[in-house]
Parts: sequence; structure tokens; C-alpha cells
Amino acid sequence: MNIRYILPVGIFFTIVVISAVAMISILNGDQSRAQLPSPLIGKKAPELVLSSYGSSQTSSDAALELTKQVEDEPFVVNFFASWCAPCQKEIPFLEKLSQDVAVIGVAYKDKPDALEIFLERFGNPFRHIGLDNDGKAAINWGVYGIPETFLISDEGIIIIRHAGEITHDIYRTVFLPKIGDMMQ
Amino acid sequence: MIGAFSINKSLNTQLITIVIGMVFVINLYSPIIFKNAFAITAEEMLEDPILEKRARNISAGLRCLVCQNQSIDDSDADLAIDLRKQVRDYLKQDMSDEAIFLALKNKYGEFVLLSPPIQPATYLLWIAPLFILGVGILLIANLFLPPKENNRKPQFQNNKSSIIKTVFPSIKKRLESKTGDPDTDISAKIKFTFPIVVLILSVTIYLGLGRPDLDDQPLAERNEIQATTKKELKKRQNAALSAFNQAKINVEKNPENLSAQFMLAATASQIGSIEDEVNALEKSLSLSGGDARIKSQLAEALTRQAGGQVTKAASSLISQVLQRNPENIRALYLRGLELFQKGDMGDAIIAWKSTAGLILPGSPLADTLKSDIAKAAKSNGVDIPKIEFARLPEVNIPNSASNNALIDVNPTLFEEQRSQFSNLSKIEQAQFIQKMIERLSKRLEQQPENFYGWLQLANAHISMEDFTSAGNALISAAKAANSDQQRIALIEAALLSQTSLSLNLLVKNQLALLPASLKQSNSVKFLEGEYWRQIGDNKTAARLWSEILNQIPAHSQQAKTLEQLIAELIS
Repeated sequence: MNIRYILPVGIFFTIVVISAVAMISILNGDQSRAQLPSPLIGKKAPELVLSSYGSSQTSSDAALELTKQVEDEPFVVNFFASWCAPCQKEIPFLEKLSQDVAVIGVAYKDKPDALEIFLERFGNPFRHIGLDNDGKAAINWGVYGIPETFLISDEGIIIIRHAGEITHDIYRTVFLPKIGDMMQ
Repeated sequence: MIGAFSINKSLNTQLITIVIGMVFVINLYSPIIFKNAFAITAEEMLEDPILEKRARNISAGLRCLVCQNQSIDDSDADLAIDLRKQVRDYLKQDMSDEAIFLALKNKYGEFVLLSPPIQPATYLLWIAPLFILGVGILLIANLFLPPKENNRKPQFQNNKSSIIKTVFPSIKKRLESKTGDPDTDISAKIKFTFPIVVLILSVTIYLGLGRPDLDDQPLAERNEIQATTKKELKKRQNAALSAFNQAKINVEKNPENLSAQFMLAATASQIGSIEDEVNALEKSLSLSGGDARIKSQLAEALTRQAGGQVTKAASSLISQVLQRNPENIRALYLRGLELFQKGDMGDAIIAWKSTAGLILPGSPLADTLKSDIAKAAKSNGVDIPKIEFARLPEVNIPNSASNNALIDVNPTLFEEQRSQFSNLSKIEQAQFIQKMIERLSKRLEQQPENFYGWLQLANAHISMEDFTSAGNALISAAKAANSDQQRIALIEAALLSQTSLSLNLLVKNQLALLPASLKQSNSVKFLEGEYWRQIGDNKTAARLWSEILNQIPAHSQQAKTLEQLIAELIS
């Protein structure tokens, strides 16, 4: 057959095949949302001005700058909600983390009643809990799905951002080494 | 028979190619074609339709990070709804589109932007569609160009695995059974129509819907805007050129006339002919007997002629001007430039800072000054000093409906005009100003956002003692003003300029447009009071002014004047 016919058709299908392979490898590969790079890493942690759960349950007007509550020590910020299953599962690891660093919880679009039951049932690793009723704080922290967890250095710099559940592996390979570094 | 088969084959391949091609084209532009799938709900929308349009545009350019291949405008995900709200909040805070994109990019990373930026990492992405298009064109061209003679050799017939046979056996059979000339009417028609149709379709989609990276602005529309801008520019250039030629004729007729010479200089500057400008300014200067304003203009023109270097001639002119009027903005700025070029950064900063003290923060020179001072400070190794620009009057208690307040609005413009005309006869002055008013009005009709143009027009009207027109110009300036501070000062000036009722209504409308926070301020309250006083409602005026009185120190000069005014109102 004449090369003039084969060549363009060949190129066309080569492109199609390459695109398909690329697509499949992206979809199946490690490019899950947890691995999306966060521009916040290495930057100063945003503010976290929220009405605080517990301290003023009756009047939720008292907004607190939560990151100021733990100044000069490293801390963890965990965005969670009582209605989120992975958030329940990662509580034990947050409890482990809370032995080394302060853990601040941000309850994302949650109700105080539901929160109370959640904390009673699964445990309360949080030193402070802020109520992000309208999801503004989450946007401010670049959160796009709970749970999401940040580790912040004693200088207020974001060291780790982990989107998704903290599993045993994540706890061991991601959080522990960095916390170990910071403790030295 | 052999010929017929060869045509059949290419005909069917053409069909397949075209279908594939169309699927591809539609695919490439699918985000645009199918974007009318609304997810946004009514309660999210902003009241202001312009802001809402911007919000929609921005949302369409932001990726919903949960669904990843949808924009937040299309998505019903929780996060998308929150982000849409956030975008609208930002818009309410007067943030620009770019600032909003940047703010979200800083939080969510580049991934949040639906149209990827053009940078090395995304070159492939941007080039790929063009590349595929190129390949498509190549493919079509190859299929439709008349095959060489040797292509028609029987080897074709033997190719049993041809696509037609498997995909379209019936068509093949039908076409095969036909005999005759390969270039029959139908096949010839199809040969030409198909590529044209595909081409037209692609171009229509491209023109109609625009490039995917430029949100919501069809190419055709953009071209139109560009063409209009070009036309406008050309028109303006032509107008400037004819004005220059006219001025030249006037000068030839009347070489000893100052205004003719000055006009020549102004028009020469418009068309960018520095030589003519310098010559005309030199002549104007000698005719005017050494007018300071012309001197400073000449100094500036000389500096421009020397490519931004302050020459010796310019320097001596600057010294002369500053000796007579140490607050001549142009000369003062040039003195700063001269010192900067000499390397005397400290004194340059001082000169520029005093220049800044004479101009409004929004003036075109302000930005230049800021960057110049920063440059000087940097090369001197010192911190950038705080720059204080001229301030607009706050509450100006009027002694009457005097025009002094207008001078306060922009003293320099007024001063410059006065000195410019001081050497002309009264009638000449009036003619000159009248012409200027006509020109300015015409220009401002086309560019109503030209703040300084309106100020100039107002000043020109004041020189002609036409205070109603001046007031109107000031209201227009207030509309074009870029800060509420300026706006208030201008409304005030307009209010003081005359007591025409229609003008007062305009003032009232302008006051109503101020943000709520400002409406409670003393200066606005005072203006409102003045408005009521002018339309004869003394009671309301007295009430508003008493409110101010309660908020300012009891024994201040302002309080005393206010008390006096209120007393007059009540009596």
C-alpha cells in the first residue's frame, strides 16, 4: 500500500494509543487526590479564627484564633466531621499524635450534638476544636475533602499536608519521621 | 472497474476520517459546547448582574477539586458550592479576577485552575490540539489529492483486508457494481465538499466559541474589539495630525501670536514630534517674555529630546522656574530626575517627595514618582521612605458659595492655567479657553472615565465663570474618581460651585452612591446638609449639621463655624 495513505493514519492512531496509555496510567497510578501537591507546604499556616467547641458551647459568638492557642510548639490541624467514616478510623492515630504534639480539630460543617456523640464514642484527641460551620476555614486552608491533616512546625510553617485518612502506614512513614525531626 | 474500486475505497475512508475528525473537534471543545449545564442555584447569585457575570466567568475557570474534571460552575459538589460562595465573597470585596485566581491558586495550587497556564510543563498540552489538527489536515490532503497513476494498479484490488470490506460491505457491493468513469459527478462533488465542510465546521467552532483558554470571549468578539481600538487609535492619530497641520498654518499666518505657537507645541507633542514641540515652545517662551509654565514645559521637552537625560539647558530652565515658583510640579520633578542622574539620591528623594506632596495620589505621575523614589532609595541603600501625596480637603466649611473650594480640589491645574494665560489679552484668553472646552468636551464624550479631563474641563468652565457647567463637569469627575475620598471632595466642590437645582439633584444622586460606611462620616453629612440648605430645607440641614456638632470637639474652630451656620439656618 502506498506510504502516503499509511503514514497519516499511522500517526493518528499512534497519538490515540499514546493518549489512551497516558490516561490509563494516570487513572490507575499514584495520582490520587492525596498526592496533589499543596502550595501551602513550606508556607506559614493560615489563621484559624473559629468559634470554639466546648469552651463556649452555649454562645458560639466567641471566635478564637486557634493557632494562637498553641503558639511556639508544633501542632497538628485535623479537618474532620462526625459524619465522615475515615475520620472515625483515624482517631486512634490522632490520639498517638496528640502524645507528641497538640492536635487541633476543625469540625467541618458539623453539629455540636453530633460532635459530642462522635467524641464520646471514638475518643477525643483534640486540645481545641473549632467549628467551621460554613466551610470558610477549609477553603482558607486549601482543604477539598475531609479528613485532611496538617502538621505545623513551632515556627508556624506547614510541614505536612495529608489528604485522606491517616492509616497506620501514613502515620509511620509520613508523620512520625517529621515529628521526630522536630523533636530533636 | 479498477478505477471504481479505488474511488470506493477512498470514499469510505473519507467518511471514516470525517467522523473521527468531527468526534475529535467536538471532544476538544466539549467544555465549551456543553457548558450550559447549570449547577448554580438562585440563592447563590449576586444581585449585581455585572458581578454575577464575573463570578460565573471565574467559576468556569476553577476546577472542582472533588470531581476534578468539572469546573466549580458546573459541579454540585459541596466544595464547589463553597468555592462559588467564596468567589462571590471575594468579588464583594472588590478583588480583581486575577487576584481571585491567585488567592485560590495559593491555597489549592495550580491544579485548581481549569485552564492550565502556558509554561514549559504544559507546552505539550497546548500544542497537542494543533498537532492533531495538523495531522488531520495531512491525512485529508493525502486522501483527496489525486493519487498518482501507479496507485491505480491492480495491487489495490487484491487488498482483501481493506476497511470498506469489513465496515461497509453493502456500500462496497453497491459501489462496486457501478461501473464507469471514476470521476463521476457524485464522487467529484464529495471530493470537494467534504474537506470544505470539515474546514468550515472547525473554523466556525473556533470563531464562535473561541479558544478554550480565553474564557467566554469568542474570537470574533475579541477581533472586533481589537479592530475598534485600532480604528479609534488611527482616528485619534489622524485628528492629532490634522490639528498639528492646522496649528502650523496658524503659526505661519501669525508667527508672533503666542497662543498659536503654544497650540503648535501642544499638537506637536500629541503627534510625538519633539523637534517641532521644542521649537514652538522656545518661540512661545520668547513671545511670553519668559513664562514659568512654558519654561518648565520646555525643560521637560528638552529632557525627552535627550532621551530622558536632563540637559544643561533644561537644568538652567528648571532653576529659573523653581526660583520663581518652588512648587511647580513639572520643574520639581525634573530637578529630582536631574539629581538622580547626578547620583545625588538623597536630594533626589527630597525633591520627588515634595513633588508628591503637590499631586493627588491617583494622578498619572504618582506611580512614576513611587517607582522613582523606590529606585533612588534602593541605589542609596536606604528604606523606601513614606510618600505623602497631596490630600483632598476633608470637611471644608464654606464661607459662601465661593469657588475657592475648587482651587482646593486641584490647585496645580488652576495655577498652571492661570500662569499660562496671564500674558494673553482677556479676549485671547477667552477664545483659547473656549476652544479648549470644546475640544475637551468632545474628547470626554468618548472617554467619560477620564478623571483629570473632567477636572480640567471644570477648571476651564470656572475660568469662563460658567459655574453650572463647572459643577456638571465636577459631578462627572466624581463619577470617574477612583476613591471615595476624591468623590466626596468633588461632590462638595460641585455643590459649592452653584445652586442650580438640576445640578443639586445630581449631587444628591452621587451622595446616595457612596458606601454606607461613608454616609455616616461627617464630611458626607455636611454635604447632605448643604444640599438640603441649597434646596431650601433648612430644618433638615440644621438637623444633619447638629449631628456633626455632637461629634466634634466643642471648642474647635469647625464647631464654632458650624454653630454659626446652624444659627443662620434657624433664623
